[in-house]
Amino acid sequence: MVLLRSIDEITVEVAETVALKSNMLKHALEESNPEQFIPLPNITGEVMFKIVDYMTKQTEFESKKPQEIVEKSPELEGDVAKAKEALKAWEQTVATWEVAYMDVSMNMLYDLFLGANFMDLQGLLSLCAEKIASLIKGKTVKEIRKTFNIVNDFTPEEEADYVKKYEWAFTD
Amino acid sequence: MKGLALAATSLSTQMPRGFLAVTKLKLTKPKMKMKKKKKPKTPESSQEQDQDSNFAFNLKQTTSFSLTHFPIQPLGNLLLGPTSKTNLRDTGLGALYCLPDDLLHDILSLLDATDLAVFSTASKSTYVFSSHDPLWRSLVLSKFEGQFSFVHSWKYTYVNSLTGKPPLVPKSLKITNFYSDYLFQSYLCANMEFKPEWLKRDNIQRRRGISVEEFISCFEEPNKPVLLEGCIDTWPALKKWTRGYLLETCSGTEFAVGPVKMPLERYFQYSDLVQEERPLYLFDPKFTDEVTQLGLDYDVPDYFREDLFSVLGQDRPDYRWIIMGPAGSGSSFHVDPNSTSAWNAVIKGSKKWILFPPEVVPPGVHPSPDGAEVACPVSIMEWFMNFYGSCRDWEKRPVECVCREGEVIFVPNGWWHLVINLEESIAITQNYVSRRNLLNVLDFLNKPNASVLVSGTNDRVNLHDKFKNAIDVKYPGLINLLKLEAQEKAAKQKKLTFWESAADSSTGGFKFAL
Repeated sequence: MVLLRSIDEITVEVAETVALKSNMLKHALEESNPEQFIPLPNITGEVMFKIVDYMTKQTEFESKKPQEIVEKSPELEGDVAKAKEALKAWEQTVATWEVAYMDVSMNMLYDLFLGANFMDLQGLLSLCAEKIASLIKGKTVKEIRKTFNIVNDFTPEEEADYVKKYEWAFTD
Repeated sequence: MKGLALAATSLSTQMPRGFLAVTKLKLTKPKMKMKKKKKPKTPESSQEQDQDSNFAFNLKQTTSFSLTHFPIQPLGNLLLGPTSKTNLRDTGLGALYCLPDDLLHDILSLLDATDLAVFSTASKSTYVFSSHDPLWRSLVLSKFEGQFSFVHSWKYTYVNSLTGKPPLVPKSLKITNFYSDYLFQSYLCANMEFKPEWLKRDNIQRRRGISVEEFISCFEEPNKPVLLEGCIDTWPALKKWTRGYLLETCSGTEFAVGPVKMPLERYFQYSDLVQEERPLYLFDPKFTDEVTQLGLDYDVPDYFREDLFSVLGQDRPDYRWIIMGPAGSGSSFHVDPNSTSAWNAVIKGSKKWILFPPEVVPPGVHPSPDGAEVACPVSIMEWFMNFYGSCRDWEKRPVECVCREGEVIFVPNGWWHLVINLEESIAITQNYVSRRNLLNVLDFLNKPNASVLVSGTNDRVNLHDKFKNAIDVKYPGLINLLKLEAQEKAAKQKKLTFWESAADSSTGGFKFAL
């Protein structure tokens, strides 16, 4: 078991197989004394639990992933089709879980992104990037400014001149 | 980004554009009007500060705006300046300011062109981030594939290709006090000169006119690199391959360039104009299939005639490439596939090589434990800036050289290597298996994770068996013979080591001559 400690001194225990999902923990484990905890200086307890939740669930999903059949011979055609179906169903389950998992407040979203970056968790990094991107896609600039509290620092003259530059993006 | 550019030249006419030829960087005049900005007088925003000698590059802070250029400064300028300054980067990002630049970039790389453009209008900071040209390169390549006409920058190219008109330039956009190492570094690497001191060391063995036997015993067998002079003097390519000839001979053919395929005219249009950190590289393994004449203009040098993969006929993995690229293009550190050896002949231009033996991982490079992946996150220029200096004085320092027209470098199997074109270059490279590394290759192909490691073929898993069987057919007994020889050699070496250790200082240090 691996002990993690957040910046606000909350600890959590995770199985080693789960901890190894994080590249940062993987390297830390290679070096540190297993008795001691691993400090996460950039991450609060709340975020830590959320991240551990991700790692645990991912490990669980991985262990249940259906095997793909690679051999392509006529006798196995039925089995190949079945395996494909099972894999698709599994992917759907994972995707559904991920959508629910990423339904968080904006502040948690940023903290999660930074936390995933610190812990080098590729899967979670992608999820966060995609979530934030989804808040930009298809939105008007006013909506984008509102979502992220961005202050418009163009002068009116600059803005008029500049928007003209991107006419092609605003007309469809 | 086009802060600085040399006048575009063609291969066959003026002095080739490139790092070496530069003593003075001239500003070209793009068709758009550029506004001159007053040079800032405050010391912290000047590029001439020498807090860090790394910053003494021959890059002049440009004093003009262009479509995609504006004065991004490195973070050091902010941190070492007066404390009252704020970073326009942060004030203009809202809540996103807490994310580091690379994560922001990752988010933006998920957006399509429209969304990226809309995002860029939110604030000056979002404008700067959205103008990062590599973002637009991905967009151009995915939307237009190889059918783009490169003009000035990728962003410009995208808008131009989409609307048929050049993008409008904002005349009055004022951006100051924007600090970002990530963006600045990228711009620096795209525009700076290759430092002359990086070219000083040339410690590779050079040979001219040696016999095949000498090559094998001195270099191929002991697995050491060598630069061979004079062995491609008779290649028609050396005289024939002018730009005009290539354009005519390859007319209508599309070559592999990064993730796309494009005709040569388009590629030259791009390579003449581009100034970026990781230029697209023309690297095509089917060039002799596509244009038979090219295959007739060169010949495999005698040293490399043994080519055991040829027993596989059409099933053999990719083994020969034509390589073309502008100054700054190249390959970052890697080991050649399938444990093969390689030779690389420069027909036009020149290349800087850095090589490390198989057991020495270059600084800044992180191979995964199974060897299937190599992470080399920095670009070639950045590697030179940040890592080259540290390894020059290592005991196991790299082998380095500049390979010029008419020269051939031998890259032994397993050696790490990095290559950068110092000017626009054309080369031919081939990978091969000879008796000397046949056993290595078989071992490699037999590895349990062959399905990820083996490259250049669609039949990774079976390649080992196919190859071995084909060898047994054409050269019966060869594999066993080689194994025997290897065992004898290993036994001899063990013996030597034992006898050497028998000679120690307490007994007077005697040695048998073996």
